[in-house]
Amino acid sequence: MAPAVSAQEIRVWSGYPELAPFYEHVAEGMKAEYPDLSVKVEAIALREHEKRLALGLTSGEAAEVIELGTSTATRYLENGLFNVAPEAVAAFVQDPANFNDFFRDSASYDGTVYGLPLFRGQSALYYNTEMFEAAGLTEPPATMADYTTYAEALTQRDGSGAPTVSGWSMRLSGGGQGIAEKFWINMFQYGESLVEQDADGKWKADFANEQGRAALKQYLENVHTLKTVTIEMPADAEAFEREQTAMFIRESWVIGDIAAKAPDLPYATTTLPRGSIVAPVSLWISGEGAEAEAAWAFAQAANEPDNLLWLLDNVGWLPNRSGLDYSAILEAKPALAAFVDYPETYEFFSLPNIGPVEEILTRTAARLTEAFANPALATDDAAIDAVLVATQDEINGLLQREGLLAE
Amino acid sequence: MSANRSTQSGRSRRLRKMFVDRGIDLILLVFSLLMLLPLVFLVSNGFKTPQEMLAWPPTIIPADPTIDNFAAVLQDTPLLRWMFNSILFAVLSTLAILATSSIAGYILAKFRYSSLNVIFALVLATAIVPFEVYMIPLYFQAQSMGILNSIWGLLLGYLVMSFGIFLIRQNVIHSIPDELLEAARIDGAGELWIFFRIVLPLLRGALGALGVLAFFQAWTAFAWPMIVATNREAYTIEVGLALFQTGFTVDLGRLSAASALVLIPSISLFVILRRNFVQGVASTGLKE
Repeated sequence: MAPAVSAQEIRVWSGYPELAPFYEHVAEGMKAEYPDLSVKVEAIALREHEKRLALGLTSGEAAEVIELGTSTATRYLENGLFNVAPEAVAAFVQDPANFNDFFRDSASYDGTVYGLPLFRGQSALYYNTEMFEAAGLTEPPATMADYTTYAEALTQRDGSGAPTVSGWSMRLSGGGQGIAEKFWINMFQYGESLVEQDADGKWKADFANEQGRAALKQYLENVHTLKTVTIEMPADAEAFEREQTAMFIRESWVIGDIAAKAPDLPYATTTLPRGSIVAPVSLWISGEGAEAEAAWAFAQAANEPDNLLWLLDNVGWLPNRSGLDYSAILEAKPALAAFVDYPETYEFFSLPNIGPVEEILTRTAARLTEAFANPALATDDAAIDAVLVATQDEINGLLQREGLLAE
Repeated sequence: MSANRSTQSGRSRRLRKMFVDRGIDLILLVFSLLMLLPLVFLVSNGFKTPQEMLAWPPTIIPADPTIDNFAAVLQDTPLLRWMFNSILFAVLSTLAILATSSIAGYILAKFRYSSLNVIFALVLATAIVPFEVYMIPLYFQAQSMGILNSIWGLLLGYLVMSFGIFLIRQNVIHSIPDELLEAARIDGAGELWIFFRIVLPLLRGALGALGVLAFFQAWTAFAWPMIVATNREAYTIEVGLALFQTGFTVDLGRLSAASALVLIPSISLFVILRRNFVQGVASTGLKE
């Protein structure tokens, strides 16, 4: 039975224009049960979405359904600007059959459920199968040591030995946050994080150790000793699509990008050795009365298995909900398996929801890019340790400034 | 003998001058071609398939031209509506700025009250305040007036231009002698008659230049239309173009197609008003 909320108009604000068709698809599916419900989808690039949200939420002019990553949502949760989830929604989110603890917590604040987890960004390794075959490699790399061995075997060189196709496109330049994030992903495979939370909820950087050294040394070894990649070489998805690199780590959107731009590219994906960074995104509700009720109904509809499978198949973003049957999609798009079909032991980590996180990443990236360009570091463990200590001290200084530093 | 030498020297001077001139022409030609290249690529990319967009080195003339990008842009987005919104916004903003600048500029230039100097200093001072500083209070103002998602909301931040007031004041000082105004007053002309029949016609060039600057200021505005217009139908073209950016990539084919279409009105306006535009740039740079 359609509840009294049916004769309403609700708006959905999204930070990903490619998701507009998904929300419209969800709205279309609700027509039978809510014939008079009109859903207006307003999707715009993420940075602009965040600006609009900052003004809209504080002035009471925001949409009823708001799509937002947990890291940005926290500031609004702290100020009580999102609605607490109704009992039925909270029970749905807290049910382990629907969401694991990580995603439940990503939609909660102070133990209370506020949002409905929807999709996530997550990384995996992309590799060119033809290049693997030519190099005599039959399996994807399983350990971080393999990554270097494979990169060496996959690098193609000119007569003077200079690399023309990189074995492993590491993130050596570009946007600061991206450089630090990718370094964090690699260091995580060694068991270490850029910042970690203690039991009191405070944070600390503590990576000037064997794991941190292994991560940074791997970059330096590949760039300066083995020369499997250089700072100047083409990098990222475009380089992979143009067959200018054999391996690189990226999110699932690359699969759709390859399908559109390089449909004949011979490639496959695989999970990372230990786990992946994840950027969980949830739907949050603002407003009151019948509109808020309709908004919750919309958020629940978006979480229906059929709609989530449509999302993965048509948009390429990964649903957060557990227990979905991906078999039909994986048959047509096997590259998605590394993102949805991961080992039981696979671990996720996320950027911390703390104010100075962007400053931490930017400053870390500045130190890393300086280190990447210094060949003297490659064979000098003490010098690598000094870089790590200096980076760690700077991060802890930022955390202390914000009163967030753990003992 | 000496006449012969002098003729030879004159010829060689002319020859050298010709080579220098041709050299300068060549450098300018290469430079202008380089300046035009991004525009050529923009239009060319609009006709490329996603595969060709990835090709390296990039092609200037598409090997397999397609109009899919243009068709998709026109079918999937209300591009014409966004262009209409932008044109309406830019035209109304230009008219408002021309009106406020000409009135204020004339008064500040020709009326002798000491308080006007203070007002002029305040007007100049506002020019150094970035729009972002007062954007948020302005947004709340628009909200309280109930004009979000409307042309009036868009216009709220674009009715007055402090630089425009300055430009007109300087032009009035330099091009309208006090004697002319005094003669009109002696002949019994009222202030409004003087303003409309003497001042405005003499300011035609400056107003044309200011009009072009004001039009392009509104046409290229992004931050304000983006926060004021949350409704897809109310977007301006600059905001609409941002939709071609996805989570991590840019849909370059469709963005190029949309941008190429958007160039049509602005290039047309530039062609029509290019003399005023050049004068406007010269005025901003060369006059005090």
